[in-house]
Amino acid sequence: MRARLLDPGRWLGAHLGLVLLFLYLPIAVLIVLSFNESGLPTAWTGFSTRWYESVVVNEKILGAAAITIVIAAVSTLIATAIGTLLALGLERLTNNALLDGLVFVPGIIPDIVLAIALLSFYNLVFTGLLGLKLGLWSVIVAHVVFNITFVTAIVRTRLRHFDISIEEASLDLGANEVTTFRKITLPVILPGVIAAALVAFTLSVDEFVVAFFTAGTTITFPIQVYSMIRFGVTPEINAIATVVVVVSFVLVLASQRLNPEQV
Amino acid sequence: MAETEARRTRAGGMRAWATVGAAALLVAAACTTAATPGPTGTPQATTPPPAATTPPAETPAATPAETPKPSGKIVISNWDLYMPEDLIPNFTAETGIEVELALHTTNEDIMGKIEAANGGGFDIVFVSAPFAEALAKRGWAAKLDKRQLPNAANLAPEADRLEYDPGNQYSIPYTWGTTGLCYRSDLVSFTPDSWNDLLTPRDELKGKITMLGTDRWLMLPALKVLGYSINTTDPAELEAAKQLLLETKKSLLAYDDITFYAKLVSGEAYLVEAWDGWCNYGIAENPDIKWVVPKEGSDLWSDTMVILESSQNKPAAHAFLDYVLRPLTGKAVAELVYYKVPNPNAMRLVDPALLEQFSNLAMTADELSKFGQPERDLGDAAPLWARIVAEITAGG
Repeated sequence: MRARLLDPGRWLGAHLGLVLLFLYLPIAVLIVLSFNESGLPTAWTGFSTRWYESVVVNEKILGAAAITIVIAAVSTLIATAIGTLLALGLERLTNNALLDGLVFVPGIIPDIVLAIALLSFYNLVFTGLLGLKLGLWSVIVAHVVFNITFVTAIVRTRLRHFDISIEEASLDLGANEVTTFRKITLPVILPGVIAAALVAFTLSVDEFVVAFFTAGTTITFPIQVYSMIRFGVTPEINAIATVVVVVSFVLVLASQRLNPEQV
Repeated sequence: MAETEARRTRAGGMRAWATVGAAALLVAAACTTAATPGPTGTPQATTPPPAATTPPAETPAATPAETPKPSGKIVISNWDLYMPEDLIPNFTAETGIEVELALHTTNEDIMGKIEAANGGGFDIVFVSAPFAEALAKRGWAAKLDKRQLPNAANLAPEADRLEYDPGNQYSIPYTWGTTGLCYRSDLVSFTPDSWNDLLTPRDELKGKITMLGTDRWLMLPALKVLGYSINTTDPAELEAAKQLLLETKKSLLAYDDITFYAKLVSGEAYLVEAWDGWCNYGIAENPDIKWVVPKEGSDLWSDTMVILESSQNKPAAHAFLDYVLRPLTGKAVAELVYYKVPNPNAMRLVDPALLEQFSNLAMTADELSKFGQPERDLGDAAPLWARIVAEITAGG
């Protein structure tokens, strides 16, 4: 009995349980209330799936979700391509702390700073000089900016354990650099690249501040949800949030499985 | 019955009359547009207005003949769900002016966006009164041309004298109202009538009250009880209010700007500080919820429409403001959001059953302006306010 009480495994298990409870209790409440019958966001009156039904037929919300998925998909593709190449270059060709820092900054400065900087820049160059209108493209470019940072960081962790001798073997055996990259390097780092792409996609889907400032009149999913808060706080928002939580969870789970080294 | 569904049903009813109206207006508009198929975006100055143009029945006066008919496109930013869904489609059907609608979440958000774009990006923005004042001070709000706003005559005289913009030179109030106490008459043993009922609650209310957490409304009850202006910038007065509010905080269930009415319905809270329109969302769920404006007085908030100086299409922007000022448009707004509009001709059209159900919806311009003081832009004192508010919400 005494031995079991002192068993560190039991205490660690309890600790894990409490931490998970702390992390997920609010989300659990949110999910439970998404099945709330009444129109009140916080008071339970009975079980119903009506809010999911009303979300599914809400064209504004679906339209905004479609825009967000386009932004996330395109910005993920671009950021993953650029970020992977950047990771290769930084890992193989340089050893410069300043450069590493510079690449990391767009991801860690507060969103609002990046957002205002981007909007000022867009206004000066694109709308001012070129007469372009802000919209889908400007959000995509903005999301590429911070996503490159995360893609680079994740792909670099994969590259750090890369056995360079297999690339040398490929080159020795007569393959050129392009073939070597295609047949050797990319397949080895691919799990890291996919994991990076999934993280980038998730970040882009959830992102509000940068999108709000750079979107012009384009309405992304987070902008739509936040702007409803003043006049439309209903469990509809809980229902949407539940869907977002589930989708994000699946994506993160997938990225963890593909890249077990990344924490 | 959930309020949202009730609101949707009403919106459906509104759509019905709007369809009838739109059909009639389309006939008139068809005569105009058929005669002048000008490309959008260019003023149709060359084509004289055709004689067949009949002003729609609800417009008291047509735009002066010498002004070209507004056309083209405008960009508006507003909160979501703050306008009836068919307002913009009907406006476009009637005028041919296309409207692009962007959404914002808070006044601070849209101000940040305008600031970063150096005053540009939109033709019309919906902001609360102090922010309209700030836009005017920065030179970003366009001076309104009242000749293009014949329906401004529908505004209550009081709505033309609001201190943040006397004469409505830079802004037009869209909705207005006040802040008061919203309470469960079946759970509170007395009839609250003073801010003190909130600030120094009786034992039965301890842990059962909420206050608004946004700076202006967080400070409002204390400033009123102490007899100060709600726009005070005097550090000593703000400090006194802070001490009072820190004392109240001990009895508080929460600072809550969004779900306070739901807390009343669920019985978590018995008495809350509330904006008038939001108290109505609670009353819609439970008729035992009552509304009172404390005897010390309160604010007179308004949300306004501002045309930005950078707008390239001010005639079309004016046409939109004028459309919103029509009595039928105002009625639709009031019936959708349960906020008063500063337009007595519109309020007269509001369903009497609603006015009876929601006592504060029936408040007149005269009543509102008697005890309500408009919020003003705090200017240089904004950082001081922010610090005091942070010391209250984070301290204690």
